[in-house]
Amino acid sequence: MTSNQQQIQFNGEPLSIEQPQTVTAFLESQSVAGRFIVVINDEVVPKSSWDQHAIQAGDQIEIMSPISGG
Amino acid sequence: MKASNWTVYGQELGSRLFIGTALYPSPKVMVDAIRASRAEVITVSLRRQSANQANSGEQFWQMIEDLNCHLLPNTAGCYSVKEAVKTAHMARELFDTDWVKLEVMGDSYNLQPDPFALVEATKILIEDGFKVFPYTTDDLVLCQKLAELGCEVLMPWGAPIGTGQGLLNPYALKTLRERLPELTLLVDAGIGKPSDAVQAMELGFDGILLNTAIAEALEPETMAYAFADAINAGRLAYEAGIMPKRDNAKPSTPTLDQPIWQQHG
Repeated sequence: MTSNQQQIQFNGEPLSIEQPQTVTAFLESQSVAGRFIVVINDEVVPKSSWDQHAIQAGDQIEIMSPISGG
Repeated sequence: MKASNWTVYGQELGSRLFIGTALYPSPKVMVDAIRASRAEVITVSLRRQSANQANSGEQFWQMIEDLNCHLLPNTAGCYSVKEAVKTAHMARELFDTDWVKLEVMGDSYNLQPDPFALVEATKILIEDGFKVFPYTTDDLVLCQKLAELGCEVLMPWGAPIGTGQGLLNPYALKTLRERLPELTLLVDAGIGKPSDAVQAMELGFDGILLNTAIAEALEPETMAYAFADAINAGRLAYEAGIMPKRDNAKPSTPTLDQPIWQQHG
């Protein structure tokens, strides 16, 4: 691991990413597409702030998607 | 003939059936059944993507969009106020709606709602601007409390989720209808067959929410037609005014001018 790497949790799995990185850049790097929302450390990050929100070391990032329900 | 339209949190609806999107044998069967049901509101949920299922929700989302129904996201699987409130906020962002079917379970065996957590979560979510559809037991005092908090809609169970037992306590449901005349009431869960839905509608319930009874029928699309017709029939009967029960027989054929040998006292 190089010095500009940071450890995060992505959908429950450990992941090493380059820093600094915005949510938008991160989503592109992970090829996340379709209908989804981003939750970081249990808080929804609105789409309007993806370009500004910088991912921090230790962040727990979750991608939530629609599923069927009763 | 079609029963009258109704409104749910200001939204006018024609169909009185809310239908779930789970448990169908295939996505195509789901779409065909929902279309056959003529439902205008469908329930949906959300989950975290797993590493090997990236973008897995996209196919489902495309189908849902094509159905062009109102979405009612649920908080299924939540056992605490914190979980339910968090899930509701995520659902609002994901589905772009302030409607939420609030489920806070208290028992994993019969999926019975936790009344205390339900009240607490409802209070928080109404303060946060949600239009809450609580999945609740048929307890009158609990339902009164939820109404006091600002719920315009309540969804008491007929029986535990997925059991198909029908209305286990018609007396309690009838009492809710009589004591909460201003509220919009749907029976949610436990409906097994169309006659269960008719019974609830004849009691004066405004609608039915169901999933398993259609999804797990041998022919879901056909069953969806059956439920749509049953719910409409039950509502029409309620609006028409059902005759009171009598203890004694009363002839339906006029007895005036009967021959003398047919007159009995």
